Amino acid sequence: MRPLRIAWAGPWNDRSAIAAFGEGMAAELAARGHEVTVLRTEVGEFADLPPRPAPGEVHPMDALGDNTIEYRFDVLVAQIGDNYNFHGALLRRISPMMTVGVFHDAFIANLFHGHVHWSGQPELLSTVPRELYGPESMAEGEPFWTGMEEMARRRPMLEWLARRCAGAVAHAGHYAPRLAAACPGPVATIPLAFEVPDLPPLPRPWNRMTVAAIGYANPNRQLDQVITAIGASGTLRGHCRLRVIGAAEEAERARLTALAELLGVAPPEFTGWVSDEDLRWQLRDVDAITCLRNPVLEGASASVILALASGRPTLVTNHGCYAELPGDTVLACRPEAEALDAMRHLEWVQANPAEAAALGARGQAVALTRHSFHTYADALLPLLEEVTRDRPRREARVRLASLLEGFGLGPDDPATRRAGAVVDAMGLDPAKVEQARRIAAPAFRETA
Amino acid sequence: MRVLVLSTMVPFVHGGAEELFDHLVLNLRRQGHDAEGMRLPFTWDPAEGLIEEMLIARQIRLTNIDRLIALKFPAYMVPWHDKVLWVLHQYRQAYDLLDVGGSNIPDTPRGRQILAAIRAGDAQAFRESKRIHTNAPITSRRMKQYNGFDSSVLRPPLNDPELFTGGEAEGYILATGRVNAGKRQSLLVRALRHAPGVRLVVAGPPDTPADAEALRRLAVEEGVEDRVTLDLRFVPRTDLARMVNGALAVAYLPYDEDSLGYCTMEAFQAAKPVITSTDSGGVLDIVRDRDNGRVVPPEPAELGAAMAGLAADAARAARMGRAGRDAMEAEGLDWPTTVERLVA
Repeated sequence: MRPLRIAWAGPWNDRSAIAAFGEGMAAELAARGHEVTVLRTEVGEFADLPPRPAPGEVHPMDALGDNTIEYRFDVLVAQIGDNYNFHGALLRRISPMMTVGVFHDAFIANLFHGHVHWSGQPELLSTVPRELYGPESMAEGEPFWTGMEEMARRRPMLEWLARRCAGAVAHAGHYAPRLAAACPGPVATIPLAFEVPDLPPLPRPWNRMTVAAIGYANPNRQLDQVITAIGASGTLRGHCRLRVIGAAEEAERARLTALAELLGVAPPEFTGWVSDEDLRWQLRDVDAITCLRNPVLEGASASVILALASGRPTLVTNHGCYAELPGDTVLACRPEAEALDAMRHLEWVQANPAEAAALGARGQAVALTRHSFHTYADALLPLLEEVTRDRPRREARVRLASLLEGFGLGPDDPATRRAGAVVDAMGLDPAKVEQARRIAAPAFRETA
Repeated sequence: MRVLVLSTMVPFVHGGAEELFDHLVLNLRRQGHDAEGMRLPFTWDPAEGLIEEMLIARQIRLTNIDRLIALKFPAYMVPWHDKVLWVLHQYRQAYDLLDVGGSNIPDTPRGRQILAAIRAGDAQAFRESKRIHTNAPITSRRMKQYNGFDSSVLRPPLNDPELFTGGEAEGYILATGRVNAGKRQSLLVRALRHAPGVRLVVAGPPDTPADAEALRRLAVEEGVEDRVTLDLRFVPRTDLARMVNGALAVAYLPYDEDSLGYCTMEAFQAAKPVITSTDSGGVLDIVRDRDNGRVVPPEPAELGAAMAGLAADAARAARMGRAGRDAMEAEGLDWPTTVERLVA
């Protein structure tokens, strides 16, 4: 494979897990001989956060013009996550000619909402979902926000950006079909890569047990269910505590602390945001890690990979991307019975430390292979190569579509489809040639 | 100046537009410009394919020229920063012919999309042009009515004025041009009954054999065959010029013609008066009744009277003919003036 000129667009600070993924991937791709330039996509004060180390140049994305990006790079690998502050600068730069969207989340309504707010176009909150999902996705006068589960079902907004990409990556199979349906180009499912070296080993069993949650603590993480599980078990209560390693709003802290008090459980510990170094320190005496989510909105979870990589037994929701992990490497909890299942699993860990350690070791092996940057790059590069190879044809298609748009004919017009088909047929792929013939023929049958 | 003249072509179809194209290139060169001509293959059927025709035009990239002069739909959609249009006609089936039910674009939702696409494409081409000329006031009026764009009229001049030198009238009235029902040579044959002693020469190619036969039969039926000469063929230019130069007057009665008509211009160039009809459209832009010709209702009796009047007073006919040549000169209907306006 010839070296690619890759623009890696995404957040590039210490606060973002997607940036941590990016740092590892940029290093891996550069080590394979590709030229990787980082284009930072944070906005506002987040753009001023200190940058991570990078193997090449790092620029704010807004500092480069569209033409520069178009000519200087073969492909733009866009990191798409549900956080406007980290991804806002990317949104208007997604080019159907050269962008491979890496969808870290299956739900990007927060990103969309941020875009609408900062672009000052409130009408988009209703017009875009209705255009993407039909009028039933949002009734007249209905507010954009509703319960997360309902949002994820009716208007997850994934398609808003997927349809603008030349190719896409899903980190789990549960949302890959949706990406494939929306994205006009190839879509690959690649398990998220995440590596945190030098994690502390599993501590020796003791008569007390620490369960950790890693990452921003919001109600979606189901920490109340973990506290309930501890409180409901005579063997856990008084011997097990919860440590929240990550930022938490004051209200969430108060809610969880009050619940623990009510159930006679030791109050949860809150570390606040921690650096990678602090994270290692906080994990030194952790016996198990909880990665529950309900609903599951992310495409994959860096924290579950970190948990597996640490060799500790890990609680996961038996749903979404978490359900795609090998069953003998995690402790799966049913979404409708999280507290009950979590209680049984934690009691088992407490009672069977050797077997729990073996499960953790199996999980660790999965993390170090399935979720390594090396494995990810092996799967990503063929996709980037395919998108790059097809770029001239895509550029021609976009140019024709733009000309037809000047005649008032949209992307779904038969003439636009015919023009695209003609471009597709300028190649060696017999399937595309045949498809082009089928699309173009009816209009010209009379003249054939 | 390096000038590219752009038009369309339907293989093996050759008419006035093609003549104009050839002579424009020729006269640009005569005026000292580097000129090339290029014609894009064009077909209008099926209507759906018109979108592709426009797309092809928009996709063409030009280099190595200073000025683009484009004549016809969709050739005038080819992008160039220094583009001047000389519109002979738009795709009339999307405009005036549509209004009178003469379009190949179906009255369906898809047909209306095609129509809107043509009009959007036209607007785009007109907007990006430096200047828009048309060949006739009616073309300019249509463009204003349907597209909202202003244009100036630049009538195509005669291609070979040097042949039409004029000369002594030999007593016949000449009808030139294509022979068909629309040009109404039959009216002139009927008019002979009302113009005793007047001789008529009809010289031009019939559109179909049936057109020729109908005219021959009519002359017999009217009992005027001894005063009518039917020279129904494509007449070489020198022969045609000789006929015009020897005519007493030229009769040209098209129905609602867009332009002045080459027949009119040839007659005036040779200082011959023109007999035409009150419903002949663009011809009336230059022919003035009793000044440089006769303009009468399209009735055999009226036409006969006009023919007889001119035949009876050859000196008056000659005066009218000279007034016609003056009118041509006043219009600036010559290639140097035309080229000058196109490259300005």
